[in-house]
Amino acid sequence: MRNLFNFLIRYNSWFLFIALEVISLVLLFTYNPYQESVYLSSANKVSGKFYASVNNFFGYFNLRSINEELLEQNGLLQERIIFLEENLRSYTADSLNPNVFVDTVSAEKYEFITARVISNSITRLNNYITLNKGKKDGLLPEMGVIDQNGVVGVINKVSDNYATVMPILNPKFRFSARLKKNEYFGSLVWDGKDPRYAVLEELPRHANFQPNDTVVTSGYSDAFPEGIMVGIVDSISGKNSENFSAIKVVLAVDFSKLGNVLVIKDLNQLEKRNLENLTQSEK
Amino acid sequence: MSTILRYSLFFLVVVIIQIFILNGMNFLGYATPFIYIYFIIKLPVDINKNILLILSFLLGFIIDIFCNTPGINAAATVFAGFLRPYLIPALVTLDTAENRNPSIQLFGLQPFLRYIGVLIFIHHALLLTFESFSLFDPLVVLLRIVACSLFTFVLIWAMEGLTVNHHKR
Repeated sequence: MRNLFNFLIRYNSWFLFIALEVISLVLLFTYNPYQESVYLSSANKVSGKFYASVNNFFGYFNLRSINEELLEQNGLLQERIIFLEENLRSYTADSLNPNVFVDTVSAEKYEFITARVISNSITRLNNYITLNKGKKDGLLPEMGVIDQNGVVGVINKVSDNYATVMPILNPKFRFSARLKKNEYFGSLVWDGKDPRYAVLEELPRHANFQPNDTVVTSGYSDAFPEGIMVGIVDSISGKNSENFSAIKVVLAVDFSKLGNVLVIKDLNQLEKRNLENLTQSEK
Repeated sequence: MSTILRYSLFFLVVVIIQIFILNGMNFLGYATPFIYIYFIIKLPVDINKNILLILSFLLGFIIDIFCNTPGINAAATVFAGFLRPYLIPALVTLDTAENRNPSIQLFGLQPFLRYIGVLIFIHHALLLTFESFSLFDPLVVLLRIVACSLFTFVLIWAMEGLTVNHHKR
């Protein structure tokens, strides 16, 4: 017994070392980005506040470039409005009752919540973004996040006032995207190398495409409506497997200078989920 | 007491520098310095092993929370803290048993650089290997380990050089 105590006392730092390593490795390997508690992430109260106050100070420095970008975006939207109004007018001219052509079912399916990026990383392998809005503002996990240029990522964890986003620049996140000119779709994922590029995998081999083709969201995942900009085809990055090809895509969003983002709230999501659950329980 | 206060301040400073400045750095697409290990490097030579381990864990854990990488930084830093008491006698010959901070003056330039070089490399190798579990590409991981280690090494050498000059004046 005495020998045992002597042994324990003599090697106590070894035991402490092993205990601490085990705690760390348990944290590392049991970590599930969707289900783990919010306290271990940068959306917790303390680090959220920390990031928010630092961002309050440094946020003013990029206002000029953010303004310019918004102006540009404004211009594009204006053009689109004019185009759509003209379209609408041609319909009105065609028939006496324009309402026949308006799709009332799909109208107002989505609502956008604006949020500010208060911390962002692009240099790591598993990157995350922290937003200054949380549960109180209606954010929930798995909502899509976009900015004026295109898809950013999906909400990961939510605390009362903050939320973390899993961006495209995180290999754990993949979503369905398609070529805009035809209906072929694949799965977009980051290869961990360059924050400007991602890879569109699992695209059928017979799908034809050229460099500079546009890649948009397919609408098959709940997080994003169909047709949101993702990026532009850069080059073929090799065969994914025998029947699929993989394309290197230049991302539309510049992750090194994210400022304000929009969180997409799908108003029909609850209904969709219920329906899916019902279908599954019937199997 | 003032020593504890000084080290607490040092702890805070390395954490803040790491989170707000260095985490956003990406030299040539691969190199990100992890300067917070400087805190472990500078702890007194004769520090109690258990205290060293607990401080290593705390440091890594706090960095983990801010980076959303639970366990990764903590595991690597605890390992570096565990090795440190064995590393110093192996690499440096010290004539005084006095409890002082590792520095160029105390160790001599070459032994000090050897000491920080080995500690930084072991820490970074573990850190970046753990990080790559979600997407393993051996060549990229190796390249990142070498690039990040070099970057951290140069930065810590520079900071150490600055403090030495300051003391001489």
